[in-house]
Amino acid sequence: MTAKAAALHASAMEFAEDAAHAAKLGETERAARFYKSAFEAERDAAILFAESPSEEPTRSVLFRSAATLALDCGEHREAERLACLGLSGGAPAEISDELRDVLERAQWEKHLSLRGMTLDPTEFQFTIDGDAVGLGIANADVVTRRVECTKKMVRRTGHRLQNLPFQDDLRASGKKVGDDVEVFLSVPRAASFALTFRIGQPQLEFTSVERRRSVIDEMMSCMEILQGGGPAELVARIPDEAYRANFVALARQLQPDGTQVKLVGLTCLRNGVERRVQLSRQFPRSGYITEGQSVGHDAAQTVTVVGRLKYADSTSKKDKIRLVDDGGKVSSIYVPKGMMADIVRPLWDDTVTVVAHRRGTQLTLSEIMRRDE
Amino acid sequence: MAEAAGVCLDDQGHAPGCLLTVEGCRDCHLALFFCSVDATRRATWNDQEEATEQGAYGVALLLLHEIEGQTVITRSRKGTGFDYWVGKNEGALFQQKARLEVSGIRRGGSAIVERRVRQKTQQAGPGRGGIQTYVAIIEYSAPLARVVEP
Repeated sequence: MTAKAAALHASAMEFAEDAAHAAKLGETERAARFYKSAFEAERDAAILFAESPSEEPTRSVLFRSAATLALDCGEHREAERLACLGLSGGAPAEISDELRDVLERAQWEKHLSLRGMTLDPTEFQFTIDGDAVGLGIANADVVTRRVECTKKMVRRTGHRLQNLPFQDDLRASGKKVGDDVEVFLSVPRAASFALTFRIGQPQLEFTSVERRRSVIDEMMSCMEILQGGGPAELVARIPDEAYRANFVALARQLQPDGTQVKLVGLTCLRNGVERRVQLSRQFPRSGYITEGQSVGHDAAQTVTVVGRLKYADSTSKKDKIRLVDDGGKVSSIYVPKGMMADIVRPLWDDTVTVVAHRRGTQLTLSEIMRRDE
Repeated sequence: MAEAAGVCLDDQGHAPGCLLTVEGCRDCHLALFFCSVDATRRATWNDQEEATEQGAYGVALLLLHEIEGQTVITRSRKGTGFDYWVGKNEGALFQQKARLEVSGIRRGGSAIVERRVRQKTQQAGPGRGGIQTYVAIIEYSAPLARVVEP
């Protein structure tokens, strides 16, 4: 049994490595095929130990690996089943925790499901889950911040698709396109906590339905790139640096923190089929924004500054903020285009943590968050 | 991994044969040899985070073999990446093997290295389930390797 399991496991890991490589190159179909082969081999290896609860940690590690690969290739029900089988043995505490994480991820699909609700093409469902969320009820701050981010992302995406130059003032920018990217919200519902966003007016005008629908599709595609593609793919999709910096910063504020919020997902309906995208993992910091805009994050050039946001200047050639720490020390930080109004301004007078890129004596903002986040 | 490590070391101004300071499980110095780095290799590993991380795995795996006699036995799939298991090349798959948690830092002082050791140790959940774990932090500018067994 051991030799057979070892051979199956070795083959699974080779397929998984090929899959990860193909995914990195943006070859999603090839990656999916490799993940499927990896999953099947790892599942078969794990099943050989199903009736051997004393063979730990081998048994639970194989089930965790197989369940993770099931998620990689979209087999959520299989992931759930394999994670449960792994937990049914005598798994060591740390592997049990990891199996529970896989189980939780597998069950997120259920939360993203529309459960029979019908959405029209200009609508999408926004779902949030985590410790700050109960069934149909959620911490107001956690939800409202993310709803605000989603609204901004919708409007910025709409403006970008209409080839409008990036303007810091979203309202001024919006005036040029009327109410075409106005955003409406439904009442919340339990799923764990879900809302419907509608783009456009409460009464739909047929002529602009396609345009509004394309805003949702584009936003979801860009989120999929952040979750599974690489920086180059996002740069190709959003060539304008200001729009790209803005999208990445908003997505970072939207994404789960791992405890209070473990899942943020969007679901829409296309030709009767649900399209789902979940922000469930932290994406890397580097590469999404080019040099000059801000970051390439190696440790030498990356600094963290904590202080109260007391000064912001948008009148000069380059936007700038100043943070004042508890001892009164002032740090000046340049803000890349695309981030001042949507990302920095809502944090005015808050104590914030800034991750910045240092070049010489100059600091350029890469990431900014409230200190309590 | 070796190529990624070479790119990171070269980026920090090191040449093949540079001395790696090892701290933690064992205190010693080891010479690091790597292939010459050209524009193609730099382009292949232009994602700094990935190069830093993959290179760190390469250095850590060689290091554990050198100082602890541990060999990479296998990997398993975990989260969005792989989990590495080391041990003597005997026995069933993951039985009596140790997990390896690795992190790379392109350039950072001792405070950054220590902070990363604490983060990784916490993440590894030391010893709760009786699985032996090594934490290895590789810093390229010194270059320095800090290997601990929490």
